[in-house]
Amino acid sequence: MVWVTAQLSGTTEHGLVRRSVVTVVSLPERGALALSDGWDRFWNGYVDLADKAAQNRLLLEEIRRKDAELNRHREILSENERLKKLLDIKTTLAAPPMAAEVIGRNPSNWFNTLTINRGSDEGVTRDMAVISSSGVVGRVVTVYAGTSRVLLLTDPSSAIAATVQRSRENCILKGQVGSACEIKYLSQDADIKEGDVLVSSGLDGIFPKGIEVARVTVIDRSGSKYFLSVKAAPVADIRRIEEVLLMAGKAGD
Amino acid sequence: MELSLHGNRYRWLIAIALFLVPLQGTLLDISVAGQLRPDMALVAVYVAGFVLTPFRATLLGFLAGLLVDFLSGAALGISAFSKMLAGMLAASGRRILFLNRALAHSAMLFVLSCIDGFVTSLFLVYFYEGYFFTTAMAGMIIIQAAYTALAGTIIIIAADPAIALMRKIRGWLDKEQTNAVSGI
Repeated sequence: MVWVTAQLSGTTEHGLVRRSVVTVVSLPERGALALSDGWDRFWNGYVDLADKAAQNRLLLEEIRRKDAELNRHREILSENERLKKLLDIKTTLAAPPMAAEVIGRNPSNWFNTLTINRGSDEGVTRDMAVISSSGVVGRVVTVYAGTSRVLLLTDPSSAIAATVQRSRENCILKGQVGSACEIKYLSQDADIKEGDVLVSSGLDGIFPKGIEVARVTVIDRSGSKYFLSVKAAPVADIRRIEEVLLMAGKAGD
Repeated sequence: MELSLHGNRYRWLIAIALFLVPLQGTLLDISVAGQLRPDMALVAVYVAGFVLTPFRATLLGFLAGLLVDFLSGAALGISAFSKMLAGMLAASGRRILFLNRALAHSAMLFVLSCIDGFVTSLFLVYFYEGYFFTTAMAGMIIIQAAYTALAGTIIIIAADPAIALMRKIRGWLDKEQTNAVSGI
């Protein structure tokens, strides 16, 4: 009773003892706690990991599905943009155009033609102008019942009446072997330079006036005495065209 | 590399190569160096030169060229004539050269393609407006010949193991069918 009373009254000096005992006893306690915590962490981590691996697999599958969906949406968006551009051109043209899809290309390397999915059944006729959202593509040369063949502007048999947009010089744009174009009948003193844009002049009666055709790439003034030798590249991406517009009738303003 | 030259396999090759001609402008629209494609009709004609008589190979060349003319929209006879010539040369060539190596096939295809390209260009320059003998045209003939030689040789090399595999699968399927019928 005396001992207890003394402790409670604080008159005896037991702090040091208590502290010492507690310190000594706490060491194994801490060790045990550390072990226990370590085991808990390990066990939870293992179970968690297995769980996370399963979740990971599910999430990866989800990501793959979403990627595929995203690619589909991108494709739809891209098609939408192309069709909107075509629609913009459609609304600025006087005559009602007809849309068509490219379904094939020429198997021979000597001719540059496309096959489209519109034919005489849908009112396609020979010499209809074919344009894309970027510019002139070519003209219809052969018409079948359900398909037609388009002669590209890069074909050596193709010739388009064009005008240099900047200087209004008239010229003829002819295709060349190797899918390039050449500008003919420009005199040596013609006002033309590299980078100039050529637009259809409408003088051939096939293409409406003012549609972009090609861009000047190389000018050689050292050849003929009278005419320039000028190379040009089509503005339309002939390799990747998928949709085109067909125009009928005479060219006008 | 030794290649076998047995009849049946090459009949398959002819049929496959001819089948690939219309596909060249659609599913097989692959190209290198400015939209050039290998000439599958010429590969068919070349292969025909190994199994057919010179007359028949010439006739097949004519028909293959006609097919190309139909599909390309060219005047009928341009490719027909040049392929006919290629067929005749291919059939005559195999009797002269001992062709059982991949390099020889490539060289022969290259030469035939150059001849085909040159003859076609003659017709085009004479009959069509806008075609002239230029360095671009010569370059196109050479590159097309190289591409045709490469593609044709790969097809010929791949044909043997492919046909062997098909026979194996067919043999396995026949065996399964026999087992099914006999109740095993």
